[in-house]
Amino acid sequence: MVSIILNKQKLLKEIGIEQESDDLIHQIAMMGVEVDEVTDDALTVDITPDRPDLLSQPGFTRALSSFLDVKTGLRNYTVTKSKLKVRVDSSAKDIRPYTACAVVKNLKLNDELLREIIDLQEKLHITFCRNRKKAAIGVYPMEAIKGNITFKALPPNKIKFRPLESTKQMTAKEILEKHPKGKEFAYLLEGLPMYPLFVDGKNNVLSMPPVINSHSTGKVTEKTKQVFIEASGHDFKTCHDIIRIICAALADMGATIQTVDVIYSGKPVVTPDMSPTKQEFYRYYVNRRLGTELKKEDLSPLLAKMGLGFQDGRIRETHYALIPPYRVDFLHQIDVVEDLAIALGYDNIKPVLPDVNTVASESHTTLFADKIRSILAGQLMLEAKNYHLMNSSFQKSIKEEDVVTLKSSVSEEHDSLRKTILPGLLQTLTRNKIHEYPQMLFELGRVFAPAKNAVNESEGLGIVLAGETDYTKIRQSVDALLLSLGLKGEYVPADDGRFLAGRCAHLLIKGEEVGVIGEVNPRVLELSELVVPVAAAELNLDLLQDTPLE
Amino acid sequence: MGVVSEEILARLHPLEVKVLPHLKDGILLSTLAKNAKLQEVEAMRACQWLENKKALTLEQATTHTLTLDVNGKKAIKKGMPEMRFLLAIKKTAKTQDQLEKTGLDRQEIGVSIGLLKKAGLLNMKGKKFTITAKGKKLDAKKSPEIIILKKLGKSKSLETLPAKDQELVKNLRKRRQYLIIKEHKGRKIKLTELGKELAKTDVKKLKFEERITKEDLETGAWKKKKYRAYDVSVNVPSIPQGKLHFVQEAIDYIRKIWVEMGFEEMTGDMCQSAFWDLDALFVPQDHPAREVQDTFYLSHPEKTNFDKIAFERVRDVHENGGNTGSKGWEYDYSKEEAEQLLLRTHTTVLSAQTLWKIRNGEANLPGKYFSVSKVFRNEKLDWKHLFEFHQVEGIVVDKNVTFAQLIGYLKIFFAKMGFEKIRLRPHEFPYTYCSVEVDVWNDRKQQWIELGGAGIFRPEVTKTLIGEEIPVLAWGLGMERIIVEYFDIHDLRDLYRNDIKQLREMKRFIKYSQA
Repeated sequence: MVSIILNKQKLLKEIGIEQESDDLIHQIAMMGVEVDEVTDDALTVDITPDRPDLLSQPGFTRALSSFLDVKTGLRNYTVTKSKLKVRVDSSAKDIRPYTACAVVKNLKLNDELLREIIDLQEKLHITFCRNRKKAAIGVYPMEAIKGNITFKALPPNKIKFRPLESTKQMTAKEILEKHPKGKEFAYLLEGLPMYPLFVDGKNNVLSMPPVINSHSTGKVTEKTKQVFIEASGHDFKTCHDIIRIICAALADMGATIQTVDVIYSGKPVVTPDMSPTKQEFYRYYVNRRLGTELKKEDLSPLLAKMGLGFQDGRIRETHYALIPPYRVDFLHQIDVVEDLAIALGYDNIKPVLPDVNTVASESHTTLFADKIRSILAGQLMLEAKNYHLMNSSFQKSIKEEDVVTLKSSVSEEHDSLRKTILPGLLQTLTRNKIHEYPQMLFELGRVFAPAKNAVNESEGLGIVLAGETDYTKIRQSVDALLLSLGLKGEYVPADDGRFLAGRCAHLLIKGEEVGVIGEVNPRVLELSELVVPVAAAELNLDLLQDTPLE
Repeated sequence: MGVVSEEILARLHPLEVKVLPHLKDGILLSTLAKNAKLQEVEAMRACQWLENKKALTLEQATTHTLTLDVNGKKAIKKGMPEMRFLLAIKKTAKTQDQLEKTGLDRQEIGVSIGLLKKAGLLNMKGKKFTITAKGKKLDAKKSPEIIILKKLGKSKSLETLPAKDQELVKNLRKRRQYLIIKEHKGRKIKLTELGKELAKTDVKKLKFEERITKEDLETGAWKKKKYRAYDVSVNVPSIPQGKLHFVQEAIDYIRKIWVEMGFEEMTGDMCQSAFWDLDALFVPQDHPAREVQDTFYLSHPEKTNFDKIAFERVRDVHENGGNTGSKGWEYDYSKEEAEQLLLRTHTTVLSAQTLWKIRNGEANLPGKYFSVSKVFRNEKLDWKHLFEFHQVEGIVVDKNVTFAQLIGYLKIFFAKMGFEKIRLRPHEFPYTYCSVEVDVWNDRKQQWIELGGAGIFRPEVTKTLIGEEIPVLAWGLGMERIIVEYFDIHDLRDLYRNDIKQLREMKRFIKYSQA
């Protein structure tokens, strides 16, 4: 999600409201836009990624005025044809194959409108263009462009121009190494044999997407009346969607949109196409999904509230929603269903009590865990709940080798998954040093071990008895637990670095090893900064649960 | 017995009975303890109880202990210097030099001259010191200072000395290095009228039994005995308790809500492939939420594999909508991206896997499923963010379910959690339509609090995984934020601090269903 700041007074004026109210804020929320902050001049709202058309003042105003029934229905955008042609050279094919373009005339810009355009371009870059990875946008004052445009790719050493905000000509290499924008986006061109370029009829560089424009083409200013807009990237649809969103916003500001012939291998593709697209939908499908009883005549006004058009189909209950060029979130008729629901208002849909009859069941793992919990609480122990993530070096220091590790964690303290429960419980004891002893704790939870192309996950149980304690005490606890579970354990001497030699045993049930108990090795206590004896047990609950009862 | 009633005597604790004969107005607590042969803490407790009974008040008192310093110790062995001086000149007058030869040093001689002159025991004849008649009468061997110094041989409390001795000590304190004095802050007892009366009690006649014994019960002796009355209002030490973690209690309550409504519990791995966690749910592979700053990817092991048929179907729906009637996301789907291992970002991955099980006949249709378990986000730990937290997940799979029913389920759940007023706001998730954010009204804060997301799985998900386009109601609610209000916790980290005191004292999760 990305937030945008709207000019509140301008917005209120356009929707014909004098003062904002709680009701208006609620209406905006019910349109699907979260209001972050309201001040005297501004309204900060969060836009979801499926609605890039709302990322500008005109786009947002357009949607809200429909939703509030101020100006409803499908917007028609008239386009004329410009003479400009953009030839996509074959050299661009493997580097950056697509572009969609437009010419916009009769711009009446002022300081604020200019900022709105730049903001929209920036927000689109961050969201829809995935930080320029998917596509990038260029806007150029028309008067600087001589003749027709070519979109091509050149080896880096053949590229030299004066990038925006620079005092001198730079090579492509210099731009990527020294120019602030170049440094920021250099990774997007990394490893490419050739870099993409827009050049005009005089072979002057317009830009090197997705990095930077040329300084000589200049920037759009308040005086600019005509602009050339392009979006280039790796798929045509994204580029075209961007151009249509920008053109719709500029047309709403009063500008005129002109098409450009983009020529791919000699074949012209005319962009932008500002006509609506049709999405077929069935009325019974809408009603079944929503639990409503909408009639045919209900549909058109509801769609109009969402800025969509309505057309009846030839077959009964088949209709078409006319989708304006700036809406890029229609993949399926289910999206029409959703827009109809929003138009109805989620407040107005009556909740229905469920009538799907099924038989409940709890997972055996959680049922078993619940039993263990009540048994150990009955032994006067407290349940602890630690994180699954923990520090890998701590695990290593107490001989938990070969643990599952994370690629990137914002916190170094939590860069691996616990292999056993005990390390976390020891840390819990360390944190509780200020409290009196004895301290008796247990924890149940998932433990992790790496395997080939997989992680082995199992349910573990850890018990720590700290204070006046010894092998007998932990043995008594585990024996009592097994007794409650109807199991009988066998203890065989074991050698485990975490425990004191000679006071450590493996617990076998029916010959299978299910855990380890013993007195914690003073070396481990020292590492944990503990100065009381600790007896502990670590059991594998999955194995324990799978053991058939006696 | 005047003001002392039988009722008060019956309430006396054995410790109080022990101090009673030793109570004196103004006595120090330490003295009282010593006299009663009790530990000082025991005497203290007895006095506090007596204070509660209005028999006495405890007051601050400063006391001093005295021990001998070097000159004090020397004086015990050799006598006070002024007396040695007198003895030395008793028979013959002596000069300063002659005196020094008797073992007195200059300083001692100087002090002695002053003292003896002042007392009228010494005269000067030329350079020689002579004894006066008064001096001759004095028995220099029996000086009161020596007697008191000998009494102080071991340390002694100043306040316990008789008044006469205290006067001597006062003078000795003025002299260099005779006594070391240490100050102690202590307590002193001031008896009330009741206290003075109580102190007269003949404790030997008090016959209140402390405990009901087995023998008393067996022999019937209890019938003739009187038992001590307890101060039932007094605080008692706490006992250790065994307890479930309070978050676990909340989890159990939430699980019960779904079980009551006929839901089956889902479980599954926390380490999942990007394929099941995200791709199967139609999250495009370049979706911002998949970036490493939001998701924990594993470095060891790094990759995993998954069902080939599921892979092909999911790939197709991403690339062109497959057979779902959707356009899909229209990009080249990457298998490498899908193979990455990660910590599940939501339990919706369990729902996706359940849908695939339905397709394979391993789960029920119609079906209702839930889980309350951990999910992971690559966040820095702070008061409002945890990097692992519980999600309350649920799905309802049935041909006839509707958006209206989704709202119904959410209303019931939140009502059972104690939230009467909820609001559903349109939102966006790549895998649902009629996507909503669920807000509940917080009366204390007077604002809406966002508690989770819900929606109906898109055909791109259901048709791909189940094989049929069956609507699936789905929700994924953040559990911690739902329960903190109950526990009055304002820093999410406090849920998992595992502080023993907090675990012991935290109230249990008790709610009575309202829906």
